[in-house]
Amino acid sequence: MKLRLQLLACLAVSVTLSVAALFAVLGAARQDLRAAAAQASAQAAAQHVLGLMALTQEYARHAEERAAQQWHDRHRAVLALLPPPGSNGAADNEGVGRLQAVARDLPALFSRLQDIGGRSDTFSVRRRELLLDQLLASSQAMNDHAAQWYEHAATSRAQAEQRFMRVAVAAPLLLLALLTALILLVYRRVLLPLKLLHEATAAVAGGDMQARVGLSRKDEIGELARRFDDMTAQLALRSDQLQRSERQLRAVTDNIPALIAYIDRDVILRYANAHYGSVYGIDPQALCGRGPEANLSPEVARQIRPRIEAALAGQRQSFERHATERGLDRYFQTEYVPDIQADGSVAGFYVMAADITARKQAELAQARSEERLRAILTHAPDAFVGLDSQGRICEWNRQAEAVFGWTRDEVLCRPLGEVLIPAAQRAAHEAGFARFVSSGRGALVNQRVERQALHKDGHQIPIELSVAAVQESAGVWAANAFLRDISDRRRAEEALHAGELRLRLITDNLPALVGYFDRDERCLYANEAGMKLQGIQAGELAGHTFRSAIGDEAYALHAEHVQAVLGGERRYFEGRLPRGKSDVYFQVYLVPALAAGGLVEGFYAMTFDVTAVRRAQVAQQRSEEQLRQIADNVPAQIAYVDNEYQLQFANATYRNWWGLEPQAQLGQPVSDLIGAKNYEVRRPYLVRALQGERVEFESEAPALGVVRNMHTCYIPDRDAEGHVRGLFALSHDITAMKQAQQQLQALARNDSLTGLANRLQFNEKLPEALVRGERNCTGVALLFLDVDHFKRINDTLGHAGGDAVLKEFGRRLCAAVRASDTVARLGGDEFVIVLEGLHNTGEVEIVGRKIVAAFAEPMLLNGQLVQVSASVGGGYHAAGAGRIAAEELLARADAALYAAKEKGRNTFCMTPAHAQAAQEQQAPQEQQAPRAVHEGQEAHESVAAS
Amino acid sequence: MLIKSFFRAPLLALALWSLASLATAAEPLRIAVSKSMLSLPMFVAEAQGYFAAERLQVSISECSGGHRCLRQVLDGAADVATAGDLPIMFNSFERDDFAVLATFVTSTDDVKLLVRTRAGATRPEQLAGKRIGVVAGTSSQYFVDISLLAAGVDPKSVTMVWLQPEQITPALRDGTVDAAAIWEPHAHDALSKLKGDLKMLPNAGHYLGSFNLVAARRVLAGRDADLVRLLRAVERAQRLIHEEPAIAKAVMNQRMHTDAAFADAHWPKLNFRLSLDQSLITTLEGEARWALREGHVKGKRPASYLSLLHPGPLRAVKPAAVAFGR
Repeated sequence: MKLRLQLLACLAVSVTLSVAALFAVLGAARQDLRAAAAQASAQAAAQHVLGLMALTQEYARHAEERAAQQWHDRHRAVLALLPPPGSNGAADNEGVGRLQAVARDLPALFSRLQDIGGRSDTFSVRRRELLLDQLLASSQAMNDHAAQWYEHAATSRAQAEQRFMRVAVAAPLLLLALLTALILLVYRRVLLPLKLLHEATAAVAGGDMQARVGLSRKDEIGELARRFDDMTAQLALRSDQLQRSERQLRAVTDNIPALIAYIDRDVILRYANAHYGSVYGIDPQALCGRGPEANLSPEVARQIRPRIEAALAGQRQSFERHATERGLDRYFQTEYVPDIQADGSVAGFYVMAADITARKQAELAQARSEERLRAILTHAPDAFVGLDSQGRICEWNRQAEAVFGWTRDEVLCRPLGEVLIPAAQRAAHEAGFARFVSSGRGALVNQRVERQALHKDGHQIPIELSVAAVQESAGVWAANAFLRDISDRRRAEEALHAGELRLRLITDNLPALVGYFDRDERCLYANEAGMKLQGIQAGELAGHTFRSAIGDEAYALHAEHVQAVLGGERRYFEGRLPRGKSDVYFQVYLVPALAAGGLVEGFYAMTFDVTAVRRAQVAQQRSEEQLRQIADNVPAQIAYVDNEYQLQFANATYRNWWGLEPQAQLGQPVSDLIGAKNYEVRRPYLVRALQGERVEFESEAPALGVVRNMHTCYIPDRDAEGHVRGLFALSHDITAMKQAQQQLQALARNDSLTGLANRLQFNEKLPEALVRGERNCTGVALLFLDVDHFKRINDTLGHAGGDAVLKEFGRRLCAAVRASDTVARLGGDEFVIVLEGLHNTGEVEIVGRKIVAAFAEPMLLNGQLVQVSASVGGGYHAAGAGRIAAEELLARADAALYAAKEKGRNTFCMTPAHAQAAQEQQAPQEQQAPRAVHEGQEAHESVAAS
Repeated sequence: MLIKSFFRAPLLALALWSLASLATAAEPLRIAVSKSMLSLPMFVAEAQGYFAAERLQVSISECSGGHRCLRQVLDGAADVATAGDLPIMFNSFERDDFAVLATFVTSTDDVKLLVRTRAGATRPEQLAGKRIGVVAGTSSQYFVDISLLAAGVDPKSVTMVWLQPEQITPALRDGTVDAAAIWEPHAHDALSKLKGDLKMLPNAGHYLGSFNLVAARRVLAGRDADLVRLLRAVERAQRLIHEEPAIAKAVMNQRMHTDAAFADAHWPKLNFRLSLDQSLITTLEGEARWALREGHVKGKRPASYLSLLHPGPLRAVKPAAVAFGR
């Protein structure tokens, strides 16, 4: 908030508060005055009412007219004291209202009293008394209301005084608080920031350009502080720029390879650039502040004195000066530029002295150079021959002597033709030279040409000749010629040519098309095979491009690769083109031809016809595919495992059995593919097979939720030298066959009608039960039973009915014994039951009777009730009674069955008692028979219940 | 033994005191309130829960007419009653076992003199020889007398027919009486029911009636604190009547089964203020003299009606309101 606004707000609040306080005080005073007036009126009214009461009584007693008159005067006085109805005084005071109401009605009553006057009859007396009482009561009510009025006014006055007091206390306190706030405001918002500002200005004045006030307030002083900070920042920036600019300027002047200085009007050096240091070898600053006499030798100072004076007179001076500095000769091109002020006065002058020592020295050097050139020519590696306009030799260097055998002295001033030109070309040379002399032009001028030249001994030397025309005078030309003996180069070129011929011979005889093409794909070379294939004659080669050479169809296959090879890449690809009824296959190599700088100049193309190879490959693939088809369709798993135990082939059956894609598994260890459990079974066979043995085995392979019975054969794969490289694995799924075997086995051991064990199984089970009883020290019983009168049943119900009876008979038998007991049908209506885990004969009896009881209920067969009964005979072999043959126990049971039949059927009989007793004597552990019987009974009952 | 007695006696006393406190604290103050618009402060205090706010348990019973309410107090059926000055004055001749706690409303216009049109009387002066229904021992009786006497008609020249408030309208309807004096809302009821057959005579008696809280003396000593709470609640109701007249009128219409027009018509004539003024004594004394003079009572009036006032509770609630004797 703006400071001005804050101060204004403070002022406004002060004024408002003051005015409010003033109004409050005035209001309180007015209320006080009003209340005081009301109090006085109420008091006066009360007095008048008292007067009314006295006058009422006086009039009632004496009927004096004077009293009546006074009564009315007093009444009017009362009414006059009351504030008019609707005014503030009446509205805020209930007493006034009631007083008015009562007072209004009073004259009517009093006038009735006046009507009675002084009459003394009984009725008048009664009326007067009543009216007097009414008047007195009403007057008293008025008096009470006047008292209320007074009380109300007094309360109002007390409130006014209280308010006045509050305002009187609160207003100065508020103003004091406001003043304190103002002082605090001025201190915090004005004085403190001003102090900061003052400190910042002092710091800036002291050169601290980083000093900032740093006020963030949004008032005037804050803005002032920010403006100050901005200005300081700008100042710092400009100062920095100025310093940088000065530094740059100084750097520029210091790095200019010239002496730059400023000399003031007092001829005192004020500035000298760094170049002075490099020229004079002393710190330029050391030169400043001194005159020329102090800085220069007296002679130099004297020399330049007139120049200085002229410059100080406002004339620009430009002159060369030679000086010897630190033993070196130096030449300066010096400029004095007067520093003319706006008023035309000369404040000094700028000195700019360029060191022209190098130029001077160059000029001197040129003269020396010419001398040196001559020496160079003399010692040049090429022969140098100078000819004058007459064609005579005027220069002959040492190399010329070496190449041609002539000494300088021998050839000088002799015509070149007779010294070097073979006789056959001499005439042409002279004719050409004659033309050259007048024009400076000729067939050999500014060209490098190869010619034959004569050696002093008469043999010819191949030379490379370059001739330069030198104008001797206007229209007259002489010549300088460099001649190089190129005998060695010639020999090398011939060798190269011979090599090239050999290479061509090779490429021509390559069974491939070889060509070289430039960047524009123009054919620069093609071997014979290539030209022949494409039908190109040797002379037509130059007119062909890569495209025209190989044809559009082939080029379409090459185009992409050609672009790549021109980009610097080597390319290899294979392609196929229809040729007649069959296809032609080819392999192409494209190799970029790189120049010295790595630039692609062109490319080599080599194309091999691989049609025969490819056809052989296709045939092989087809053959392999056929083999795979056969293998995949064989209803067996065929696999190849190498000697690293890794799968290298598997047919489609592999996928069906193991749920794995054969191709994806190739190269994987077999152990990972078929699971650890399956692998453990197969590992010994794998080892044996890889040792060279053919192995066959059967196994179960659980996979994909199916357990397969498999017959597997591992056949070693030997190489030509007899080493085992791997093995062929051939597996057949024999699960169906196994199941059939098991079913056959089950059929052979069970009775097909009842599903119970048949005689074969019973013959196995009974001996086993006896062995178990002996091992577990428990008794074994055999129950032999048949269906009573089964023949009659068969006759009555037919064979089907008989079969149904037998099935139900078997079912009830199974229900009457434990699941661990064996129920078997021996044939016809003969059944046996093997009971195990017994402790005494009592248990056998319980089971026997239970079985007899199981047939008490008739059977329901095809809606007909058939009563069937059973005769049961039991044989018991006690624990510890020694071994007993199964036949013996069977015979014992059979005898008991016979006894049961004898007893009239439908009953149970055990082996005769004497036979049992003999056994029990051999079984001392069964002495506690009653208990054992009891326990056995419980055991069987629980079995029956379950 | 002594030691035991020493401890036993205070314990017994404490127990008895506790029982007594509980009994008094649990016993509500029975207030008989006249079913009149004059009883509005009582209705308001009850409706606004001011009694409960003062932690004063009250049991309010309505009665038709202050004379009946006061009768309940005198019969011991109520502790406090709202009653006009006339029943107080009449009963002061017979007993002094009650006292006035405060006046809570005054009115000059509560009682109306109604005349059957057929009676042919348009002014009180014309009532001589007529049968006038009055409620004996109430402002009704006093109002008829002073109206007749003020008009110069001897009350003995008319036939006073003693009726109860609820009998007035039937009596006027069936002509049992030619005129009747009755307070609101019975007057309004009669006028609205009989409409053209009835008219109201101008008020000639200038009777300034008051309605007061009267307590049985038996509750004065022991339950002053309750009476203070009662008066504080009434005072609060008075403030509401002055400050929120709409709410007060709504309470009145709801309680009296009157309408807004009735409330608006009678409101200005009611002066609700809690006080014990000198004018009450003057009025009672004047009325006592009238009763003796006209032969309505026999015996002796109280030597001083000051003894009939019990200003303590009011002084405790609103000291300035006790204005008699100043």
